[in-house]
Amino acid sequence: MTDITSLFLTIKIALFVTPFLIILIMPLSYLISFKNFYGKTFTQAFLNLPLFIPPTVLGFLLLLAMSPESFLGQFYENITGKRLVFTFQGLFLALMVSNIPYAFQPMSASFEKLDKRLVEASKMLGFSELKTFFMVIIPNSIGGIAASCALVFSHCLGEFGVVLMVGGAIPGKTKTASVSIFESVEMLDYSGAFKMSAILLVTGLFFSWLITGVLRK
Amino acid sequence: MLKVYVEKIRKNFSVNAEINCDAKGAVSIIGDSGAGKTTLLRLIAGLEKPSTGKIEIKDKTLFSSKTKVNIPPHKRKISYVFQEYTLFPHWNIEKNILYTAKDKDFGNELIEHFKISHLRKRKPSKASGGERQRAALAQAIARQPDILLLDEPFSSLDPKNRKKGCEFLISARDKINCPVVLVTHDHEEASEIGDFVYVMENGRILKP
Repeated sequence: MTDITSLFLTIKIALFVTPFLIILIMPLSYLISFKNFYGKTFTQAFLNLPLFIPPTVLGFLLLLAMSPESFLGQFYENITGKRLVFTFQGLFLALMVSNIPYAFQPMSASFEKLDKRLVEASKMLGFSELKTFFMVIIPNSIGGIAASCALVFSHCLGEFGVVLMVGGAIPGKTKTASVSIFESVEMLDYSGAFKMSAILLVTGLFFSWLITGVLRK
Repeated sequence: MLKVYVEKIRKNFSVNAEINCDAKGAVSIIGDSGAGKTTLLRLIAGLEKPSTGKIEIKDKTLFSSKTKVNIPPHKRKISYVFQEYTLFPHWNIEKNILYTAKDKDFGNELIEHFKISHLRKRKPSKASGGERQRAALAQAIARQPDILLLDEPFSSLDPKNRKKGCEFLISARDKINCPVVLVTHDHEEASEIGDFVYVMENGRILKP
C-alpha cells in the first residue's frame, strides 16, 4: 500500500527546506564569488563537506549535535520546551545542513560565471553593492539559482541516511518517502515500495529535465 | 574642472599620470595597447585604488592619498563607457537608458539623437554592436554625470560604425555638461573628439 502520509511529509519538508536554504546560501555564495577574505578556501571546503562524508556519518554527527545533552539540543529545549531530535524541526535542520552543497555549488558557479564587467558597470551607474546584488547579479544568475532550488528539492525528496538517523521513522511526524520504501521492502511489500519509488522516479525525472532545460537557456 | 594626478605601482608596471580638463572640455589620451590608458580611467573611476595622488572634480575631492579620501565608485557620479558594451542584458534598451537618467525627457531626447528609438523595447542582445554602443553612450550621457569616461568606446566596431559612433558623439557634445576623457589608440578619433590630446607610453603621460 502506498504511504501517502510519508509522501506528503516529504514534499512538505522539501518545500520548507528549499526556500530557507536558498535564501541562507545566497549571501554566502556572493561573498565567496565576489570577495576575497581570510579563510575563503576553508569556508568553501566546509560548505562542500556534506558531499564528502557518508550520509550516515553526517546523520550521526547531527544526531549528536541535536541530542538533549548537546548545546543546540538544550538551547532548543529551553526555548520551546520540546526536544529537537526525532521531530519535524530536527529533520528540517538536518536537511538544511546536508543540502548545503547542493544549494551552494550551482549558485556560486553561476555567480562566478557572471561577466564581472556588469558589476563594474553597475557601480559606475551609481548602484550600491546591495542594489547591484538584487538588480544585476540575481537576475543574471537565475539559471544557477533555479538549478540550486531543483537540486535541493529533489535531494530532500530522496534523502535517506540523514533522515533515518535524525528523524527516526515516526509515522506522520518524521517518516519520509525514502524511509517508507525501505520499510516496505523490509516487510516484503514490493508493490507499495514500487509505487512510491515510481512517484519519486517521475518527480526526479521532472526536476532533471527542468535543470537541463534551464541550464541550456 | 577635472584635475587628476595619480600614481599606481604594481609589481611589473606602474602608472604615473597627470591630466587636467576644463569643466565642459574633452581630452583624449592616446597610446599603444598596454600603455596604461585603461588603468588610468579605472583609477579615476574608483574601480582601482591609486597608490598615491589626488583626483578632484568641481573642487570636490574624489581621492586624496594625503587626506585619505576615497569616495567609492558608485558615489562618484562618473559615467564610464567600456570597450565592450555593458548594458544590462535582462533589461530592454529603453530601461537601460532611462532607469539611471537624471531627467527622463533628456533621456528620451538622447534616444532620439542617437537614432535608437526603434530599439526601445529590444534587449541589447537583439541590437547590433554599433547600436549597442550608441545606447551605452546615451545611457552614460543621460545620467548627467560629473565626468564622462570613454574607454575606446568604438574599438570593437567595424570602421564604418566606428566613424558613425564618433560622429554621433561629436554631435552630442552640446548635451554633455561635464569633462570628457576619451582613451583611444586612434589618432584621428582622438583629435576629432578631444580639445586636447595627451600621449601615454609605459604608464606615463609624455606630453602636453
